[in-house]
Amino acid sequence: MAEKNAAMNEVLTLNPDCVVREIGEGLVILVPETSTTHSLEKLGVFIWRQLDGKRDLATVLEAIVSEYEVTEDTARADLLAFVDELRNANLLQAG
Amino acid sequence: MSLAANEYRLDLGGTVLSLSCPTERLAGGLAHWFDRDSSPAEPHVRLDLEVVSEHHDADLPNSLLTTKIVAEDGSFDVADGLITGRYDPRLGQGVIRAKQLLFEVPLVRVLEQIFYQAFYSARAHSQADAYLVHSSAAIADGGGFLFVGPSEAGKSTAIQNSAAHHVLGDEMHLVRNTPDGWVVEGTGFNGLFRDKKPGKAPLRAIFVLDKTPEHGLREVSKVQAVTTIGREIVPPVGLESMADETTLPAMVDAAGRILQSVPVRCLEFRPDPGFWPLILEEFGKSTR
Repeated sequence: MAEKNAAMNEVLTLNPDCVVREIGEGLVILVPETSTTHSLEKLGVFIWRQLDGKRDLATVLEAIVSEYEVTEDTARADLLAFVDELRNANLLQAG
Repeated sequence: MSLAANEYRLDLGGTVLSLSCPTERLAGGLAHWFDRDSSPAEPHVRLDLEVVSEHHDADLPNSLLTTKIVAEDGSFDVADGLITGRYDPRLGQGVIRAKQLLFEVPLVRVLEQIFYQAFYSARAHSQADAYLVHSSAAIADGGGFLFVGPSEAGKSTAIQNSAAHHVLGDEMHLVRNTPDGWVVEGTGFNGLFRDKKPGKAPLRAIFVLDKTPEHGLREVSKVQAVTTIGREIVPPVGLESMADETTLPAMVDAAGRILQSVPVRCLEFRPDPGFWPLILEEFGKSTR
């Protein structure tokens, strides 16, 4: 799958084919189609819950900066890398 | 019902498969391969095992499940005829026809995978709350310890350095829920390490393996543990079924249930027995 870099005005949501299991404070995301599993914790869970098909990534970035002690530049870089990772794992789709 | 000379019964934690072979020699060969006498217990499923001498041209699959097709009449085909058969879950009876090459070492390990599926079919009749788990395992100080991780994580290495304890195996173990908690039990399924002994013990801890220069135990998050262990549970798919969208969630859910009461740690280890004192210091009988 070709990698695609996320843009801040993108609105993303979860791949509806994924199955999610809450384990403690983390999430296990299952992609039955590819028989792959992914685990998310802390910031990953926070971002995952923001990707609701309504908020764009700029709004998600604001939420991260508001919730965590992190500079906007660092948060943006981390968010875009994380979203690319999720998309390449087939966990996201356009909202 | 008494045991026929050409029948081999494989007991997996009280769930029993009857394999009716075309010859007494093959039944004896299975007992030798599994290093277990035929079980005297009544079987939960009865399977006729047939050997097909026909040549097999196609490549051998890594997983029998991914190449399995099940027809509406209950017949199945794995890897373009490598294994065919039929299973009736209502009667608990069926037939497995496997190509000759699968009865030769080391390919018997491929054939074993169809018995994993037979176990899950039989589980429906035995009512066992049990899973097969890719792992190595040993009993020490009265407790069972399971070592898991992806290929090359060091499952065989860990068990080769466990000779001071009761080694259950380095390939496949049964993890079974009992009124007293989860139990780990050895199986006849084989990895590289043959110097193993049957046995079972309360499952005292699970270790995710990590080869490092020094021994150590460290915490691993619950979500990471469930993900790792879920991948090592043999898909709970019987002879009558194919893997589907429910299979992977079932594996992860099983891992989650086990880890509700069994502690898990990351075991950082190098290839010597020096990790055992760390394990027994935290999980030995005297520390409980």
